[in-house]
Amino acid sequence: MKSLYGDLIKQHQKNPYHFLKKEDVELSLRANNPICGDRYDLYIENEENVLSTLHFHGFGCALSKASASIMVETLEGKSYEEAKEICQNFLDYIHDKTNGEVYTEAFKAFEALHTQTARIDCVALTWKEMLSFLQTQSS
Amino acid sequence: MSFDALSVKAQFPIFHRYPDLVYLDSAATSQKPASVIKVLSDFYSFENANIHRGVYDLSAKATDKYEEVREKLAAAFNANANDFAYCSGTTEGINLVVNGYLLPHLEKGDEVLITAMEHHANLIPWQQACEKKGAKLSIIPVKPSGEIDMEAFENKLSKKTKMLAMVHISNTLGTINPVKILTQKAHDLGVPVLLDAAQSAGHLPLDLQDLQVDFAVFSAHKLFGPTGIGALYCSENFKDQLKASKFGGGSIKEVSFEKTSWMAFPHGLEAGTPHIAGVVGMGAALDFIATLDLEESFAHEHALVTQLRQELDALGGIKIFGNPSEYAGIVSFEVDGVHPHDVASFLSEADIAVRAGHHCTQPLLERMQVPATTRASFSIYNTEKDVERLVATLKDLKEFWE
Repeated sequence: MKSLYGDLIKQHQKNPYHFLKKEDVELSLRANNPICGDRYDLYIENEENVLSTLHFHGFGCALSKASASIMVETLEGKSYEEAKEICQNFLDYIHDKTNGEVYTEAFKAFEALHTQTARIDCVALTWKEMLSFLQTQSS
Repeated sequence: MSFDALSVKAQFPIFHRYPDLVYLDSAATSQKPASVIKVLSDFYSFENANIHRGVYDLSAKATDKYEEVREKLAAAFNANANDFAYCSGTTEGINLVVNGYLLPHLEKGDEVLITAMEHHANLIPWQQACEKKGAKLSIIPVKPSGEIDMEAFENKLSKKTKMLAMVHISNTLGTINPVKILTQKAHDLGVPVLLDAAQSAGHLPLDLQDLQVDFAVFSAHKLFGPTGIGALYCSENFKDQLKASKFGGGSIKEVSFEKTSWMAFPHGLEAGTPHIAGVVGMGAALDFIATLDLEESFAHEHALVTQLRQELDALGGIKIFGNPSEYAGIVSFEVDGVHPHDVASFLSEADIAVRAGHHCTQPLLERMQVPATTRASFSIYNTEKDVERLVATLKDLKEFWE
């Protein structure tokens, strides 16, 4: 069982990628779930519509943290347009709307959400925030 | 112990459908016995009609069934039948008192006193009323033990207090509050008292005459009845002062384009077509409760939660919130280093249903400096085996996360 907590999720939860408070970075987003109290800040360093360096910091459950970590790792270096598509693919994938097609194999760590939908909000939290930021940036 | 939880459990169809389910979320909503489900189904199948003023037989019978449930409430909670108005549940009941009694009586500089362990439903309506009138919402602190600070209560209670509103059993900590003592002290200063009995009604013998509170509210769905229905108790002294705040048909004496006069409590508060089947279902739930010995069933729940509190303590790496001397079948805890939602998901994968979050008591959790907890809550259908399964799975979880 324990299908929600595979090795990749445990890894990212224990050693999250670029998990650092970067208060000097001008552009930051706050992803907040008032229902459960999970809260992350996403720090975006950008160059010409590219997410050149990303960091995140905050607190929440293992799933929201691992998911944010995978997002930061996946989106770093991507253009806004690419990042938008990747976010959309991830959100569609966790809602089981992509026929299993994933941008990166890492997303499959969340496959259990297809049948255990109760935790979708935790996993989608930072991705939704990032996507809505990217949508305001489109030319 | 003569209480037979297994034969009680057999009366709940959900456990036939899910024999391995360990349901520890009864503080959120209880499961429903077959007798209640059958009454609901029979009502819609064979007895359905709108109540009042229907001259035909079905309507007259539906009206009788609807009104009869007040007698059942009276018998269950030691009061009079016409002391109970139906409402959608605890939240609506409190709103009816805030809007219908408090607001017309509240003035700038007045105070409303509540405890720090209130559910949002017994906090926000008072807070909003105070904001509207420039009054002060005063909070009785809760000690680390999870008990009301009685000294602070006495300091905060004054002639400026226009209402004392408190929860009987904390839905987060399980604390049973000394309602009778607090009510007595409030009444000494002429302060009316509202009791949130959402977690106590149906779990322990609730004697409204003995407690002497002026208002009491609870929801049927937490006492084996349907969702969307509950009752508001109002003592004789306050019936004339509790005005209608929800307007519509069915609650009026006379209407003209210029003015309206209302029926007396309780009918004056029940505007619109009520949740008739819900009321009838609540009656069935009260009949079911009448088959229990509440002293015994409470002792059963108390024994289970006591066992759980001890075993969680023994497990290590688990923090229990509050250790009140008087408690009911509810316990909140935290597993070191594991977020409550992960605890709840892990338990869910083992067929154990608990709740994770702030349990609608955010300010209380803030004072305990924790954003969320895991909560296990018991009812009459739980057994020692449920406690054992929970503890064993928590052991697995600790190993998994190490």
